[in-house]
Amino acid sequence: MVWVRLVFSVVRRSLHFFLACALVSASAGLAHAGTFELFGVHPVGLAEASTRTAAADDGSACFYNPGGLGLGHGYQLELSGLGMVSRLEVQDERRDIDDPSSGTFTVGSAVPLEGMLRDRIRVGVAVHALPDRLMRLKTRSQSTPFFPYYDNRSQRLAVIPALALRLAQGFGVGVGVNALAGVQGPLDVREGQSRTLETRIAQEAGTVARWIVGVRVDPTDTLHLGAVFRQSFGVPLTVSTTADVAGVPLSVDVSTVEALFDPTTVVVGGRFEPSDRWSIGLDATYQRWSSWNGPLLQVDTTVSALSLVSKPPKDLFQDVYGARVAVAWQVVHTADNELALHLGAGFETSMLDASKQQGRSNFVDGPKMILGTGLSARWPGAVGQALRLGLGVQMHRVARFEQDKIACTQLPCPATTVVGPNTANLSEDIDNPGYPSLSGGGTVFAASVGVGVEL
Amino acid sequence: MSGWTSSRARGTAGLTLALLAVAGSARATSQSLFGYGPRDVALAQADVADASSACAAYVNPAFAVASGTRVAIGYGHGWTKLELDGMDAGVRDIAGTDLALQLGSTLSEDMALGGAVNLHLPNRSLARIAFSPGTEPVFVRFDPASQRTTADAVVAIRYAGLSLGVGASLLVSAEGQVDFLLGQDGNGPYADGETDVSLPYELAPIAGLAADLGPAAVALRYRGAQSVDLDLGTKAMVEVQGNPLNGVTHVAVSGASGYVPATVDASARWSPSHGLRLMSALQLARWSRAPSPAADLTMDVDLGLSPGQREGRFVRPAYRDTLSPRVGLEVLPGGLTSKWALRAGYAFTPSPIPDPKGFASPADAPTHTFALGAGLSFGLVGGVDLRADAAGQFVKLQTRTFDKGEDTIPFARYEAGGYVGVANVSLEGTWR
Repeated sequence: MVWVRLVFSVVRRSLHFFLACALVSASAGLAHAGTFELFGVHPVGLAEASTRTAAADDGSACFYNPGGLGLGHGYQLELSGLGMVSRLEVQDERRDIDDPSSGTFTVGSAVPLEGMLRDRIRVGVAVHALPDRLMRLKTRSQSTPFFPYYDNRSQRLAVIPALALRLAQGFGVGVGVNALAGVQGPLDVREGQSRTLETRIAQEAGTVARWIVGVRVDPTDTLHLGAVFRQSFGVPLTVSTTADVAGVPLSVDVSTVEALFDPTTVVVGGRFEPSDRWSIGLDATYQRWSSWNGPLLQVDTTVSALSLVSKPPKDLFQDVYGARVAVAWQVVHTADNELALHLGAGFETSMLDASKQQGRSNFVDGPKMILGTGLSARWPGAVGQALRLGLGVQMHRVARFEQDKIACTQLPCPATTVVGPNTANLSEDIDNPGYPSLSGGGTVFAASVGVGVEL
Repeated sequence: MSGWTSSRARGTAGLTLALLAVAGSARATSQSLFGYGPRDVALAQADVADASSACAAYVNPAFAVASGTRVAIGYGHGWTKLELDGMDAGVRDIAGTDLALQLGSTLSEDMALGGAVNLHLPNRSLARIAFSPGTEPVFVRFDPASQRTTADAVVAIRYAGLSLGVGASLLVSAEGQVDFLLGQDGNGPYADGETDVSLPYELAPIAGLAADLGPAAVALRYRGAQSVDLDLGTKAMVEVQGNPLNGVTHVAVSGASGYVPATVDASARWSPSHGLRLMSALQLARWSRAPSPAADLTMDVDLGLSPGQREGRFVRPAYRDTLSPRVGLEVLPGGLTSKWALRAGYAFTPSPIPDPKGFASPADAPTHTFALGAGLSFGLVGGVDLRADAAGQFVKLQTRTFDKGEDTIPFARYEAGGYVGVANVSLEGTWR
C-alpha cells in the first residue's frame, strides 16, 4: 500500500498540469466534441442521457459545463470505454457507424496555490480518442443516402481542456477550449525540368479555436443551476489546385466550410436533491443546425472553356430543440459502499427539415427519443479518497423519415428534383438511390464501462 | 486534354494531403535545430548529461526523475535568413510556444520515479505538409520539419546514480482515398466527390541513460527517425456523354515530408566547483536513411487518351551521416544557492548533403552555432518556486557552392548560405 499511496501521491500532484498538456494536444489535433455531443461523457453521462449541465463537477464538466468544474473538490480521474451499435436503416439497408469503439479520459484537479487564490482555481481535461487512429474524415457523394447527424461525428480525437474559477461560495464560471485546424494552401502539378511530373504542395493546418463557456450557481445545498454555451465549429478546408500538363491549364478548387461539424449549442439545466439519496435533473437544449452548410464537398473546376461547379443542397437543416431529464437514486449508502441507479430520458427535434424537398441528396434524419440507464458504485477509501465504477447504456430511437422524390420533367431541372440520363425523357431511368421514395430510421445503442478514482 | 483528367485526379491528391493536415499532428522537431527550452538553447544542446528536469522529455528522458512537479511555458523565435545564390530562400521564421511538464517522486534513498511531457506548438500553423518539385533547391534540414507540432512523453526511473528514461514521440501518418466524379445526367454535367482519409497513430522511440558520478556525469540519448508518411490514392471518374475523356484515372501520391533522422548523443558533464558546470556532447545523426524529399506520383489511366507522363519519382538521396560536437558551460555566480545562472555554448553541425548529381537540388551547409543565456530564480511566489530563463543563438551556415558538373541539367550550379538568429524565453514553476 505504500507504493500505491506513493504513486497516487505523484499522480495527484500532477493533475493540475494536465491543462497544459491538453491545451497543446488540442491544438495539435482535432479537438472536437462529436462523441460527447452524441452520447455524453462516461457511463453516468450515458445513463442520465447527458442531463449533467447542473450536475457535473469533475473532469466531465469540461464538456458539460466548465462552470461546474469550479465547484468541484479534490482530484478526480476517470477512464471509460465506449461502444456503439447502429440499427439505422436507409432504403432497407443497414447504416453502420464507422469506428464504433473508443475511449474517454477525464481529469478534474485543483490548482495548489496559496493566499487569495487558494481553492479558487481548478483545471480539467476531457479526452476522447479512437484506439488506432487520430481521426477518420469521410465525406460522401451527394446522392449517397445517410444520416448526417450520426455520420462521421465520432471518428476523431476530442480534447477539451478547461479552466474554472470559484468566484464565491456556490458560484463557478469556467471556459473550455476546442482548438481545430483549418486547412488551406496550393497544390501545383506540372511537368518539371526533370521532364517528369513534379508536385508542389504547401498545405497549412492553421489554428481555429472555439469556446465552451459555462456558469454554475448553487443557490442552496440542494439546488444547482447551470448554463453552458458551446460555440459551433467545423473544419474549414480550401485547396486550390493548378496544373499545366501537355499545355492544358487546369484549375480545381475544393472546399468545405464545416467538415466535422458540431453546431452552436446552448444548454440550461437544473438539479434538485430533495434528499441525500435522490436527485432529479432537467436540461433544455438548443442546437443551431440551421447555420450548417452541409456535409458535402464543394468542387469548382475550370479547364479551357469548360467550367463545372458542384451544387450541394442548401437550407435543408433546421435548429434542434430538446429536453432531457434524469433521476439518480442511491440504492446503497453506507460508509464503505455506495451504489446508485441512474435513469435518463430525452427528446430532440430533427436537424433535417423534412418539409424541404431534396433533389440529388439523400439525407435522412428524424426526431429522436433518447433513453439511458446505468449503475455507478463508489467505495470510499478503497483507493485514494474513493474508487468509482460505472456502467451506462443509452438508446437513440430515430423516428422514420420519408420523402417522395420528384422527377424532373422540364429543363432546366429544379434543384429539388432528380433526373435521368436521357435528355429526351428526363424522368426515365433515374438511378438516384432515393428515387422514387427515400425512407429511413432506426435505433442506435451505446454502452460505456468506466473506472475512476478520487484523490 | 488527356492531361486534364489526370491532372484533375492529381488535384484530388492535394485535397487528401490537405485533409491529413487537419489533424495537425505531424511530428518532427524544430528543437533538433536549436534545442528545447532556454537552457538547452543556451548550451547549444551540449546538456544531454545535465538536462533540465522540465525539458527532460526532449533533452534526456533519464532526467525526468527529479522529485517534485514542474511546469514551464516558453516561447522561441528563429529569424531565418537563408540564402540561395545570394537571394532570400523564402524559408519562413521558425517560431512557437513550448509547454513542459515533469513530475517525479523519491521512493527510497536509492530509487525515484518520474515522467515528463514536452510539447512544441509552432506559431503560424499546427502543421505544414510541403513537397517541392524535386528539381528545385530546398533547405532539407530547415523546412518543413521545423514547422510542425511536436509531443514527447517519457517515464524514467533512477536507482542509485543510474537513471533510465524511455518514451515516445507521437506522430501520425496519413492514408486514404479521394474520389471525384464528373458526370452527366439529363440536366447536364455535374461534379461530385467523396473522401475517406485516416490518420493512424505512429510512435517514434525516445530513450536516455545517465550516470551521476558526483562532480561528473555521463549520458546517452537516442531518438528515433521521424517523418510524415503519406499513402494516398485518388480516383477520378469522367462520365460525360460523347466525351473522349470518359474513363477512370487512379492516382497515388506517397512520400515522407519533413524527415528528421534518428540521432544518438553521447554526453558528459564535469563540475570542477559548485559554481561551474562544463558540458559536452557528440551527436550522430543517421541522415543516410533519409527518403526522397519529393513526393512520388503514379497514375493508372484508363481513358480514351493517355497523358505523356504517368509517373513522377525521385530516387532516394544518398545523404551521409553526421557527427556534431557540442560544448557548453554554466556559471552559478554564488554557487548552488545562486539566483542567477549564466550559460554559453557552441556546436558544429556538418552538412549531411553530399555534392548533388542529377536532377535533385538539395541545399544545405555546415553550421556553426554560438549561444548565450541566463536564468533567474525568484524563489517562492504564491506557493510556487518560480524561475525565468532566456537564451539567444546565432546559427551561421557556411557559404557553400553546389556544382553538378553538367550545365544541361536544372540548377547545375547554385550557392547556399545564410544564418538564423534565435531567441528563447521561459517561465518555470516548481511544486516540491
